[in-house]
Amino acid sequence: MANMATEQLGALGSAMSALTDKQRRYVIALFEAPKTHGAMTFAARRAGYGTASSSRQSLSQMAHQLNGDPKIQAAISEVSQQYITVLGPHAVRALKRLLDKPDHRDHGRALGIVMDRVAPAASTLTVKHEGEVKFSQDASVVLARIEKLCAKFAIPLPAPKIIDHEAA
Amino acid sequence: MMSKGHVYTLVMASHLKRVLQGEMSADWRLTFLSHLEKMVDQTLTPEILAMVEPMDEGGAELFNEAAKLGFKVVIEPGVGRRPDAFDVLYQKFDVFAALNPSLRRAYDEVCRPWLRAAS
Repeated sequence: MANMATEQLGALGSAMSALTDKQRRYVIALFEAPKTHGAMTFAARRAGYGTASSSRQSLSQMAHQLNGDPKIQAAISEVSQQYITVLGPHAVRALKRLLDKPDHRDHGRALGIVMDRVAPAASTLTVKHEGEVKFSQDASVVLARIEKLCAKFAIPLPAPKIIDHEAA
Repeated sequence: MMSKGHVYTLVMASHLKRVLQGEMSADWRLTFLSHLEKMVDQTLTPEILAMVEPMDEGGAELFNEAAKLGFKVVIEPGVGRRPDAFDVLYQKFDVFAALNPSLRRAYDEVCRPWLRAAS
């Protein structure tokens, strides 16, 4: 299935185009590795890194170096996205097969997955928040006192802030 | 002649008015205005304080330098009272007045009755 998906990936994205042929082969091989454990070593060998006599350890080190390269990381991210898109129909078909088998142990779970997407359960939560805001003094009293004192000592009050032609 | 305390209070009033030109909450504005109100006495009347204009940039720079001495009275054993910011405000009143002529006008207004009586 992985090989089939690779064929379906189509044109290379910008991140993959920025890589050398060898690096590109490495990224694609990562997705074609037969098993998760040792996938990086497999990909390094498949891409042509090392020699025929290179040990697994040296190939692993090369793979780690490759994975640390931001360009390689960007390419992995790009190809992952393409894979997920391409694998969508496969996943849907697998789910459909599962739904067709009522005696399968995961039939109920498959049904639940589909139902969650077709008719998601809705719930309403009402939050009541009560609080009390206390002011040390009444704002109008404070402002009136400020104006009085400003007038008394001939202090011009700064112009009020204007936001969108309205006083803030 | 004005007392030393009244002289530096004039400078303080000028600085306070500068501070009040900035943006601040109503509570803080009222706090500063209350400080200004506490400066009022029989010599520095509200009319005199109203004559004082806010300190300018140069005055504020000088004030900030003086403030580095602190506003608390510090007595050093064997030496006596250490000069503080108020001493500088008093001694440099002429400089503050040159930068802010309203200080001189307020000073002269305070002294005017005494000068008239003396003449």
